[in-house]
Amino acid sequence: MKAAATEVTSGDRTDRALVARAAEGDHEAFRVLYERYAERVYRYALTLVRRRHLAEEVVQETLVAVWKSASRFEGRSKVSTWILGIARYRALDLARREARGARVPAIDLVEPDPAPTVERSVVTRAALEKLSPEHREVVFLAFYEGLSYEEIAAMSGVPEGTVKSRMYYAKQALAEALT
Amino acid sequence: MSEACKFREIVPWYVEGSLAPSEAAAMAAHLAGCDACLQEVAATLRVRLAVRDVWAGMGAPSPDVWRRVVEETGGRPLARLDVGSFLVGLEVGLRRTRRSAPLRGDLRVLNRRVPLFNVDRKGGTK
Repeated sequence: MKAAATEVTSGDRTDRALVARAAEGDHEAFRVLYERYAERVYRYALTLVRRRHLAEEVVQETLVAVWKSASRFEGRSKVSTWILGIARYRALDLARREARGARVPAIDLVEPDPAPTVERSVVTRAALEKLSPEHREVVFLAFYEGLSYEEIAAMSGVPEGTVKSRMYYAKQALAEALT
Repeated sequence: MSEACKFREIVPWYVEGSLAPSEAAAMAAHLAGCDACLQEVAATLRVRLAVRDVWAGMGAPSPDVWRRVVEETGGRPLARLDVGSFLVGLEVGLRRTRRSAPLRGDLRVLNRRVPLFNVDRKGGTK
């Protein structure tokens, strides 16, 4: 097994230890991983697929893939970027399938939450919606996940310069909308 | 592209604190003498705050998602036997998944699990 299984005790709850325990079939460790990552994967997926039911499909497919491939996690990247990388692949694949089948035309990213919304939130949502998925993604990964531009480039398979320019364009567009 | 523009592109990661230490130090030194980049930092902070608020309010996947994940991974527990004490014990569990009903046994020593067997009705002993 390649996973970092050197400190596999039930008291070790670091992400790496949880992945190692999941690789050995420990479903409780997997449940903790799910609790840590389901929301993050869901929000990331929403930036790419924009529909809540599709984002939930991405969460499901991603976490099942994590369970099945935990033993192959080599620890060369952070667990978070490994999981988000799987989510990215699943989301883009799902988006492609959706585009071919055009199952659901509605976009619900801009629908207001049941909770009261403030004007800035509505404006920001609308501005995010206007960005391309690639631009929205880099803003999410940088500002919500806190990934470096090197990590984003590696995850997205594009040059670092592309990541920087996408971010610059996206930030300018958002800043203009918020003024 | 001017020197200022090169720095301007990495302002988001400076604001986020995810630059490499050497790059962050160079950025900080640059900011001491560049009003344009200072304004960029202020604008970026506003954008960052706004988008984080939006994403934080996006909710979570429904509990059904976890149920579906369990069906595809661990399955529903059918029976579980746990004998022994805190120091040493034996755990045997039978679960039901969509595809099979795996039977798993672990030796527990000081709260550390050592897998003994994992028998899948379809796949045999792993």
